[in-house]
Amino acid sequence: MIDDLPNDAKSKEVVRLWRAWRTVHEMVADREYELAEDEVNISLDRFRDEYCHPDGTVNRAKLQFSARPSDSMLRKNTPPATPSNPDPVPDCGPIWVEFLTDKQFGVGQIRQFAKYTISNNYKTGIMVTHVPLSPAARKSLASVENLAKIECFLEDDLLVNITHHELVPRHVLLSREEKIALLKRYRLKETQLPRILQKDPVARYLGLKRGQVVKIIRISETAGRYASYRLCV
Amino acid sequence: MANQSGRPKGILKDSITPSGDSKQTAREIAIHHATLLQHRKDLESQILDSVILLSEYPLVREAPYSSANPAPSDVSDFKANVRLFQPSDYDDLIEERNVNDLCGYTLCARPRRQTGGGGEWKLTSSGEIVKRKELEKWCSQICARRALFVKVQLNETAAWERAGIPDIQIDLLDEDKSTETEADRTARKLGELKLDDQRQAARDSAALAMERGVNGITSSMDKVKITLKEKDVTAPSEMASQVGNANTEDHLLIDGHKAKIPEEEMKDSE
Repeated sequence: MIDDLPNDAKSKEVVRLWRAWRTVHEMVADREYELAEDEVNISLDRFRDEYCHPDGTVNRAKLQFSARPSDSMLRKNTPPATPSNPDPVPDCGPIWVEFLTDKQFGVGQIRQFAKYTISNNYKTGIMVTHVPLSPAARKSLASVENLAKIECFLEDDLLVNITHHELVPRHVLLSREEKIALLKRYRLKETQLPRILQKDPVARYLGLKRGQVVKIIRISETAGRYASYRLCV
Repeated sequence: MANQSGRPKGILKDSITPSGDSKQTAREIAIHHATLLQHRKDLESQILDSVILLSEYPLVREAPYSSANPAPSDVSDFKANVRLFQPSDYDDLIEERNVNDLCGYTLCARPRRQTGGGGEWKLTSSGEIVKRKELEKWCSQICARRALFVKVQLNETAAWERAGIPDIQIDLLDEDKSTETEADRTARKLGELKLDDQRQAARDSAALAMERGVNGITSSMDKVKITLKEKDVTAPSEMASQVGNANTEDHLLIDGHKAKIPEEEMKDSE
């Protein structure tokens, strides 16, 4: 099948972008945003039809989409009701994903993206770039953190979906009630759990926030399955 | 068992119950460390703001001024903002300026050099082989020199450890003061005055803090209470006076001890 593709740089670029595009969709779907099945599993031919110019180059301006959180995700991210706060609001919201074309990333581009995300009431923004951010730009991401969570992925890192690798076990995000139940069951304090870093590739894939707990389910030769828990720090 | 309350008795020692006093001090320590962290964060964001501000300099780009002879207002701003930088922050600034397509030297308005396509390495006119990335940071060799001249004056120490120190001064390469006009001189003087004012303010606030008995943010908790206590030195003097009194029998002493032989025995033996 690969043989009948025109073997030049243009189509390589298309294939790269198609793979990143798919991985981003899988990532957003795995975070339990609402996405249709055929949006996630887009075939290369359809991708070429929809997002390419007639001359075969990708129309990057079209590579952007948004998604709304599903009901189960909203439930997961709602803090438990307390007497002082009987009707809590979920701390997640719609997500905005964009492939950016700039050749260099400074504070200016980041601010522009953050401004767009915040002014359109998105709670999370994912920017996919093909060059790394400048150090100052990376630091400036922290300043908008309480308005919107801006995540940045390199196109190169999205060519394959890391969670599909056989050595990566399944990570499941726990809801707040599940976390409280876990801590009660094992009579632990939060800090006594094993930890996972926020910059861990899987943590970045799932968009973990500080204080969330993931359940990691491994296959065990002796026990069949083995679950361990990690607190995101 | 015999335990009346019905609860099994643990074999571990009773844990020390925190009294109200230790809770109070724990709270104070926590607040102290929180303020320290906040102070650091504030400084970091201030440095980030400086980087972003300086990444668009120089503000004055008209004809008489160039990177060799920058506008005095820009110079004073640059010096004031770059004072708290660590060398790594300065590298960030250079990169940020390059993103804005400017020469890495803050007071240079020219675009950075574009050497066109090609590999990772580049042959310079002097015959050296350098990384293309290094070469494209600057507009010319002289600007690279000027920028690195500033970089070597920066301090590796973390910003929060020297934020209060007023004596950090950054000089520029080949600052020539002979050709400047009257207006430039006043502008430069104004810039120096501004720095002097900051220093004076820092000194004044330090003096005021000392007067009030308030210590600086870093030194308030690190103190150890010291009480000086004189050590009484008395032991050897007694011995000396004894020896002084009995100096007629010095020859009978063995290691300061006088053997007592009963007198009758002495007589018997005679």
